[in-house]
Amino acid sequence: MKVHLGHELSAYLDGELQAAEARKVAGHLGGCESCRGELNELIEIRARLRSLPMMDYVWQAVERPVVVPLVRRARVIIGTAAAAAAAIIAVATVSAPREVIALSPSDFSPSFVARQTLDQNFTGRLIPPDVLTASAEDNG
Amino acid sequence: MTEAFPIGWEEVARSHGRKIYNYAYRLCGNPHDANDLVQEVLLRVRNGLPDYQPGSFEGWLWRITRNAFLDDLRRRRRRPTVALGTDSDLPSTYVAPSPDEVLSSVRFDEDIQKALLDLPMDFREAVVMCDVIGLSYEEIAAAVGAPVGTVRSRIHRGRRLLRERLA
Repeated sequence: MKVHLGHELSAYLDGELQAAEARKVAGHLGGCESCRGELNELIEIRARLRSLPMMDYVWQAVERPVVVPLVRRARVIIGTAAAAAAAIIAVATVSAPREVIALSPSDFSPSFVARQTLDQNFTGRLIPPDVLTASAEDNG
Repeated sequence: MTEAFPIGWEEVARSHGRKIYNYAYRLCGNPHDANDLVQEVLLRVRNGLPDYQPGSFEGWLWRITRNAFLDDLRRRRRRPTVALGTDSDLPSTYVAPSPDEVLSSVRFDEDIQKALLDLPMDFREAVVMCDVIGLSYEEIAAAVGAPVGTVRSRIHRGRRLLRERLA
């Protein structure tokens, strides 16, 4: 009975086999229609995976950290989430007038909102400091 | 002897931030969780750089990334609320993708993203590292702490499962 190729096929496709092993696989493929079919399917799915768009992630330095008054920190989470949602909707409106995504506070991960609110030094922010400060005052 | 890594973490952020973000996004399907993960990874990179041992930088970085991702998963399962970072003074910021970018990527890869999320984590991770991030089998093996043969098998089985689910 003929033994068909297994995970050698993916490794062959990715150029991850040693030369001798690659020659063996190529030899087998020459005489095995079933394995050629399997290889073609792998080529197709691999191409689909590799054509997935890379989402943009832009890294920038910022000038100053977000500062929230100490006694008010715990109170501003909800207000801040709402302010953040409003800020994002505003951004969405400006940059994409034809397609606006409606975001709600729940669209922000809890840790991200909490870090913006509770941690004075966290500066990986979407929320402008003035919005955050205004929100803190509203809630104080 | 331990040598300091020749570049700073800010450069790691610039050179790898996007890849780390896409890794997390493809594994969890959530852009906000992916953003949180980049922040966490860069903190760990900054804290770990002084102890970096010359070797496979990619393996080292992706091991940190993977551990941060798995820690985050465990944390969310245990307690679906908030755990604060203790050391978050990264002088940097995230610029969200534009709504156009988010919408177009969601439309075009919805099927394959959904199929990816249905894969067992070991397979999903190996396939994403190989086909989305472009790591070699050896780099993936270093990142996940498994033999190259195991990585090879996971990538192959992951692709086959995806093929079956998308057929």
